[in-house]
Amino acid sequence: MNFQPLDPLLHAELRLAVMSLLISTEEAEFPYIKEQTGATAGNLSVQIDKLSSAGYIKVKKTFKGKRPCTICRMNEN
Amino acid sequence: MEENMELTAERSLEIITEQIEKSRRAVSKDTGQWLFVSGLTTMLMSVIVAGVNLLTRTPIAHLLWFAFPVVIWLVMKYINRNRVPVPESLVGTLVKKTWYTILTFALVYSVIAVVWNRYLVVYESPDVYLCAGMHITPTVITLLAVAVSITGLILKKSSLVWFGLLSFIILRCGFFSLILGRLLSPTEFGKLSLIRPCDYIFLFALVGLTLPGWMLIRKK
Repeated sequence: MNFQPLDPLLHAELRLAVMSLLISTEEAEFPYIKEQTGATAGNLSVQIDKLSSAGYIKVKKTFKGKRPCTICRMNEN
Repeated sequence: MEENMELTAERSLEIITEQIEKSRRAVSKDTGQWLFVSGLTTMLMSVIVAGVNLLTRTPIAHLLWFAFPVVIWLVMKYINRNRVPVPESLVGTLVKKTWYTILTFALVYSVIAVVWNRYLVVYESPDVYLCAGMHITPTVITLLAVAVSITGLILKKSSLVWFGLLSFIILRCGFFSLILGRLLSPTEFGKLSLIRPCDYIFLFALVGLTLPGWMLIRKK
């Protein structure tokens, strides 16, 4: 079986971890991803932006009561 | 996790496996908390129902059981108010759907049984009631024990499967009644009918819900 070569963007540990996490869930909130990957908020935010720009994930910014809430989900396309 | 552009295939697989396992653990812990809280609430509720029945000398407090799903929902909502929610996943959805299905069966069966038994008491003879009466507690306990075991299979926690089976065997195969019969005098045993089935429900909540829930929460 021939596999496509892995996108170099996914060669970063944190980005790969985020993708692996989102594969098994429909969508996840930012604090959950942070808790599961053990990353800092700043670093995670940067990596999520990169994945979003590359079209791997969709990021929805919303509010939970008065608190901002970022929800990430895998892009189906 | 640091930026590492030289990820080997092995390391990539390690990261993927680790994250999937972490997701499963998060669901396990969440389910554990749910079981633990429902177990404690059930135990408290059975004590309250038994107490009210003893005080009023009527089984009227059993109607409180119908408010039970709302009580659990309120307690869980209160406990989870500041927690990061565990996202939907295949494992979590399977556990949730198993419990929704079984709790629906239990609730529908209980409602039908209450109406049916009332009809038998009012319009039929005691003999017919003995033959055709629907037994709520044993059926609900069986359904819940099955749900606990299925949850164990989904989460790959064999202890949960055994707790489900154990609670079913203790409560459904007459061991509990046998032990009580040996320990208590016939008069004391007869008095238990006032609080029955709260004693069964209490024990099931302890063995089938609280203990396995506590184990799931504690598991690192």
